[in-house]
Amino acid sequence: MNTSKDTLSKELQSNESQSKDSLWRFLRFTSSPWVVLGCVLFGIYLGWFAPEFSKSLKVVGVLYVDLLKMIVLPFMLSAVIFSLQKLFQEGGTAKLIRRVFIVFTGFAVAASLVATLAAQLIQPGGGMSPKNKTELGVLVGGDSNSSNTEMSFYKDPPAPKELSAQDIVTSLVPSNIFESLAQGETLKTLLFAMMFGFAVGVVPNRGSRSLEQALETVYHACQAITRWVNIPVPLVLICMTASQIGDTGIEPLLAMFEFVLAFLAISALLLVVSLGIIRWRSGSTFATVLNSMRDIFTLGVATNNSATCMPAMISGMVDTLRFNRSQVELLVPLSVSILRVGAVAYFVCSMFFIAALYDHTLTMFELGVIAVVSIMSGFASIGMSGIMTISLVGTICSYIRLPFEAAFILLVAVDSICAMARTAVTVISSCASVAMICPKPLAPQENT
Amino acid sequence: MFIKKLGYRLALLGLLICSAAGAAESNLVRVPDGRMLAPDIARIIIRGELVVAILKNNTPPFVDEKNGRLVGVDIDIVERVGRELKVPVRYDRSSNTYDEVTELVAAGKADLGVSKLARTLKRAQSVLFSTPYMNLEHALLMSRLGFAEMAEKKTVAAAVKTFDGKIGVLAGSAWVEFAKRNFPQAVVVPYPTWPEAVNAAKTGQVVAAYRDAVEVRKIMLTDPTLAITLRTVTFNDLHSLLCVMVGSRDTVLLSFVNEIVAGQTVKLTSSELINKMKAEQHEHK
Repeated sequence: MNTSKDTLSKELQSNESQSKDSLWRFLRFTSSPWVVLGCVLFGIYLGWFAPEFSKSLKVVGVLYVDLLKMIVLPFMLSAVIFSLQKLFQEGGTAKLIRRVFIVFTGFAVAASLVATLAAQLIQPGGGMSPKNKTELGVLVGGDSNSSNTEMSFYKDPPAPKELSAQDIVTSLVPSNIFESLAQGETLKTLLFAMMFGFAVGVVPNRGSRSLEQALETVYHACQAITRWVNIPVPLVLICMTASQIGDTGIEPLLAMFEFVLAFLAISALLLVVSLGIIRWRSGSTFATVLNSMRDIFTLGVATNNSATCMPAMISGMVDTLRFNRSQVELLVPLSVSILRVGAVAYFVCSMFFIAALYDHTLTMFELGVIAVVSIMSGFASIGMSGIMTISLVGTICSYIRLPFEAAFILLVAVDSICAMARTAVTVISSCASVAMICPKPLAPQENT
Repeated sequence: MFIKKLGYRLALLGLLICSAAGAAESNLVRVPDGRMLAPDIARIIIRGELVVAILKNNTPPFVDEKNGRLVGVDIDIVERVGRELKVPVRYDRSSNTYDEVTELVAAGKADLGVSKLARTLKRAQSVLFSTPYMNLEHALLMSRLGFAEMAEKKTVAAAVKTFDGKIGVLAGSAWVEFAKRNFPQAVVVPYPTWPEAVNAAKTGQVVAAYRDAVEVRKIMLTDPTLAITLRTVTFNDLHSLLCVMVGSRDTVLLSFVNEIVAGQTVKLTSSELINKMKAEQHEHK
């Protein structure tokens, strides 16, 4: 009787293990870069040939991103408070903050320089044929109202609101944490979590133990939800790409092909550099590093939202690459919120394209201005996404006196593809920055 | 007998003098059909035609030619004047510029002047204007590159109001005066034709070309590919008032034209004209 019970139990365990294995294999398959690329291409094809049907698929993408966003704030709160509490008890927080400042600045500068050098080599939009310029002109001039500004000659328009230091501080400090949570204000929540984490750190261990356990439970529950939500990623990727192409049509992508290709090439270069840094810091093999970054890359491409990648980033950095959990849990939300390497590279690439559009040869001085202002704009893009990020290119244009309005229409038209690369670069380079700040793992684990 | 005869003659002379004085007071002139009309109207009736000065080049949709006949918004008004006066309209198309049309009317060589003519202070010194039959918004056709260089970090509105670059206008038109008045810091460059002014903006010789919204928006509607290099700015409170021009002594004719303008059943606005052009462009595609 006992023997048959044991056999049944073993069979059940074996079945469970098999189903886990097949799910794991499926997840690995769905996060493969080739599957991601295939899904994006199929999405483009679907959006091109069935635009009306594709538009109706938009709801799938919206639902998916909302599902992921749903857990961003509880996850971030639990991770940051939990990690800071531990770090405070372990000591060395001041040193860590100094390293954060140095590494984040260094990453932004390096990203700008690499992107400028690569763009100088590739020349996005360089050698644009008159035919191509005509196609771009049709895109911009398709809606004649977009090229017209109606204004009053006699009345002065309201002065544009300039961002003061007071505004910046106000935008960071929450007056009511529940309101900030309800509004989805990541930066304010992050600041609260950091202060709260420090405060919990000074509370005697006995008193904070229950909170620690509760936070750990929230943290693991959020990671579990992320894993479940990740299952239909390929389908979501197809739906999101198809609906975006269904909205804009394939024409913008064809007309802007050179620019998109150049930005993808620069993004690929930054991804390789970031992966190289992670490999060097983790001491793991390149295969292990690639393996740890698969989910992060796929999520970044699928959602165009770096915050939603945080659970996957922590999981990859801690579980696979064995970096210090407490530090990673604190640094990932910080780097995702502050360090925008993808945006910096995008600004540089866009400026080269705009210069080419107006047959303007960039001088060495202008290249320097682009590199510096792109870094500043990268930090200014904190909390921004999509069209708001693109609008910052206008600021850089004003420094080298190039027109922006026509280019803005063109950049928006192909942002569905560029945003994928921008987010992927931001999240992978954030992982690289975290790898630089954290001490090297003591015992590298291969193929975990 | 002599005294009686003299008295009769004096009475007749007195009557004639009184009659002449009365006629001079009413200023009316008898026309061949016996009607007593104001001298400016009588002049047209006695001549048997209404002479209207228009520009040599067509200015659609105000003056245009279709199947060898003149048509357009301006033509409709003067044809109505002719119909009401029961005289045919003869068009004098010898003017190369808008100012030459004004000069013909001022010199009395034409009864009326039309061709999308705007009232200006300079013209108001030599001719009379009817009440406006259309208001056209002022507009700038700007080189994106030239404007970005001029504007630097200023907003569009601020840079336009302190415009200190080169501005191209059509020579011999109201736009020379408008440009000098509205953009005092700009260097006004007159071009013989509008296409030359537009080309100057395209090639960056001037930062902007200045004219009414219909002409400016027409450029972008005809060739949307220009949107990469050019942009337009329209002013919603700066209008060019289009009027019929009348000689400085022809006050009754002016009043007559005003009646015709007031009786217009369809009054187009510049935005309606632009929408009409857009629809035509769409149909053409």
